[in-house]
Amino acid sequence: MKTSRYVVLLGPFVILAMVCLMIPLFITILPSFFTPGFSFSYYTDFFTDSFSRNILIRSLRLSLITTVICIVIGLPASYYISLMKENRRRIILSLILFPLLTNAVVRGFAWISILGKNGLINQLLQCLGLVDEPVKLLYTDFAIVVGSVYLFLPVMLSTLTSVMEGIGEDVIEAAYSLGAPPVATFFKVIVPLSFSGVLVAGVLVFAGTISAYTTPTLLGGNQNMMLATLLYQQSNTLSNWTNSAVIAFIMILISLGVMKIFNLIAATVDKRAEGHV
Amino acid sequence: MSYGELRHINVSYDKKNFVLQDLSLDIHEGELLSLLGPSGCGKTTTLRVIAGLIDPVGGTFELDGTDMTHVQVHKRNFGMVFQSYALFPHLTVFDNIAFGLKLRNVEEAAIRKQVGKIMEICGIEGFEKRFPKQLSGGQRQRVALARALVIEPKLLLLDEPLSNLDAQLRLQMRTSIKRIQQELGISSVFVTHDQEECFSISDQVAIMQNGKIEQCDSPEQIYSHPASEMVARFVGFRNFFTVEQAVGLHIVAGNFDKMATMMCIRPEDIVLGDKTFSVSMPGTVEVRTYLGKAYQYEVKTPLGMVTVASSEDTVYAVGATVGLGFPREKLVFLN
Amino acid sequence: MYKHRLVTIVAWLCFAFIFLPLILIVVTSFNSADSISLPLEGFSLQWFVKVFRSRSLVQSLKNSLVLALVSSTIGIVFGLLSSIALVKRPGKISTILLSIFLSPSLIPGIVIGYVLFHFLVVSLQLPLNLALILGHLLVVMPYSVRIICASLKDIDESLEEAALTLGCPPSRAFMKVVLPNLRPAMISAFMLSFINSFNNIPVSMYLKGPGMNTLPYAMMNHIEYNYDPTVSALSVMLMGLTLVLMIAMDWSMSAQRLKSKAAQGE
Ligand SMILES: Nc1ncnc2c1ncn2[C@@H]1O[C@H](COP(=O)(O)OP(=O)(O)OP(=O)(O)O)[C@@H](O)[C@H]1O
Ligand SMILES: [Mg+2]
Repeated sequence: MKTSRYVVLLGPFVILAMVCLMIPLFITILPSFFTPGFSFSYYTDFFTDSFSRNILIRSLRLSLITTVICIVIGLPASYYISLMKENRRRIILSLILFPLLTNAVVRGFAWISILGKNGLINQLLQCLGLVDEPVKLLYTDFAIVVGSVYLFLPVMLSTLTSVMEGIGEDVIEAAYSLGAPPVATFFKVIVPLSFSGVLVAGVLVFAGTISAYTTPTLLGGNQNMMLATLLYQQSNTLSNWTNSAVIAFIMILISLGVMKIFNLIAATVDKRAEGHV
Repeated sequence: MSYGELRHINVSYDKKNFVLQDLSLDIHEGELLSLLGPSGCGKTTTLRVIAGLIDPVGGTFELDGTDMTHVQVHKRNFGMVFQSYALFPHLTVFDNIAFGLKLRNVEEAAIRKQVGKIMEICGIEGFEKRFPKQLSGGQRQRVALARALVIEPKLLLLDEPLSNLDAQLRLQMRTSIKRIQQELGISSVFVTHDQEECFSISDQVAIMQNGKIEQCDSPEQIYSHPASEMVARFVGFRNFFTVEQAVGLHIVAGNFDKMATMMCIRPEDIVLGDKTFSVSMPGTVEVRTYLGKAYQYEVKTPLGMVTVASSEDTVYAVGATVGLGFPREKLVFLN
Repeated sequence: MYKHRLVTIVAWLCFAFIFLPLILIVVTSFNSADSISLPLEGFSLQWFVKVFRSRSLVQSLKNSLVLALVSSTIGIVFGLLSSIALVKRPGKISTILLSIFLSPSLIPGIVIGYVLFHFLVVSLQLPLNLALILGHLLVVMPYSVRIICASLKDIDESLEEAALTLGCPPSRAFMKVVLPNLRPAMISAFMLSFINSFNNIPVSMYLKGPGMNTLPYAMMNHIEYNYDPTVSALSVMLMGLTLVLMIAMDWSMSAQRLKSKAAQGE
């Protein structure tokens, strides 16, 4: 292909990526390193200030919890799906992917109706006479985790199912024939062989949860802020450009960093797997 | 004068190393010419130069007296069968074959007639409405051939068309290809790295190595009179020695080409006898392998290790002393 | 094959967890009670009517549809152009550009929204609707590039060469033999782009303005002040739309297959 044609074909998206992504990122984030001379003091401020530090820690903690829950539920559930008959499996997989195609507000709203003060759970508990006053479920970290798990469980399930379908019955049968009971087979054969899928989906869930805005806003409220809600507050409500830039940069670092770390782990695991074969 | 002439073709992909060096080749009218050689020697490249898919750095290509060197691919009217077949997945078998005719603005009725005829020749009647995905490997192969033939090309180019088929189908397809080629009398260039396939269907064989033609001759000529050590090895010669050695050991006497420096012989052409065998050279059997039809011996002789294949009834044990005879007419001299 | 009972239990709890909330929304949208509650009181379509009475929801729905349509259409055209260049001329530059094109799906959406707002709106003072389209183009860019690139790589390189040898001029070869085979990829790229643009919140949120709101954000505003099933009704309509899109996509993907099945049946 001639260079002139190459340039023309790529032109639109290169310009878009430059004007709407690279340059804005650079121009927005660069000032956070100057006070006015080059320094990290905005960043040290962010980490020493207990308010922002707590939000960072909460974001990391809730994302980690969400990821772990998704994995713990996802492994047996996708194992179950992978054992289904072809037709049923196809149907259940597209049903599972369906929520992914609805927007986050719809999904958050469903949980508001369930967890809210007059929500389903409280109605139920009061009906049964278990509690007198409504229990506070909404606007808690718990609600954020439930909403996030709800948001990302389909991702985990579809990734793990496709990995498990690839494991093949012969491996499982080989384990049985060697005398491994089903439970041992699950933990010693299925789980290790799905490890790469767990990593891939785990990154998606973690990075997704830590950068989500809608779910923490709807389910966490003003009290339980996460990085994304903090960024919106700092930039839109308070117009604090430097703080916003600091948060934005930290969010990018976390997302890319998690991706990088998981890729490294996946690479070592892959090598180990190659050695075995 | 031949039908097609490649003269002094040079090709380089990276402007430094030449993949084809000063390559010249003649294509005879109505004949099937094969390009045979080890992987990476430039067979596909040569074919693509002929097709016009690669511009040579230098050299000319003439066909039927007209200079084709700078004619664009789509104006050459050559049929090409690709190794991957390159059938258009979104078109039916009929539309695949009719593709070239439609571009030539042939009328509907004529298209139907010509496509029908070529499908019959290639043995794929009844598959008109299928898509390539619904065909077996051999059927795809035939569709690719039909598609290339229907435009009545001046030259048919085939790049390892049989390499994706299983052994039995290969045998069957190569006969089909030969039959169709002869029936239509179409000049063809066939790329392969399978020696047997090549010899069985070619009128002319060009043996290539490192971007050069080593020898271009009829299969019989190449088989019995290889022109170089590389070609000789390629067609099954295993025993090589210098003329000087041979004269010293009285294997040959004075009446041979004085330019020759090397000579060679196939394992099965050496006569094997016991140590009393006259006009022979003594040797000791070091290794014996059973090949089914024959035994193969590695024999230690004054010439060095010699490989002999013998289908005689007498079988020699390892360590036995034997006599080797080198029939004069089976010895090939190399320059 | 043997399944432990625990596996079955977890799996069904998991399915219930995923589907019950959606079912709840569907059920309550037809309920006459003016809050999300059980047991059901009676059948009513009033919440659906209310959706269309809400000026802000209807207006933002229109905005979102237009925005998603425009950005996905431009996105797949540009995505096709870029993919051709990236696949046909592989190399260091192409690898770097590909990772740049895919990066908007790695960087948190809210960060993209913020830097776009900061640069395009605050610094360059672009009109909001232009900024919104640019932002959404950025959102859909990774999907169109990834899907079309993958499909283009899968298509046999010699197809174009075969067309040339059959007499097709170079200018038409791509259109005649490569583009038709890219159709399924273009359709799924369009669908995915559309859904992602239509559902996007973080980018739209920063680039909204008077009369320039998008549906998801309008829904979010609505929830803040109203707790009635209007949003349920709207959600049901959106799910219906999604379902139609999904089926349409499935159908157009298998159209080719069906066509060939029919041929096989003859
Ligand atoms: N597109 C290319 N760019 C750079 N080098 C190439 C290209 N195509 C082929 N080559 C090089 O040119 C040489 C000849 O290649 P060619 O494909 O003609 O070999 P071949 O004889 O057809 O081999 P095979 O039997 O494996 O198909 C090889 O060394 C190969 O590495
Ligand atoms: Mg080749």
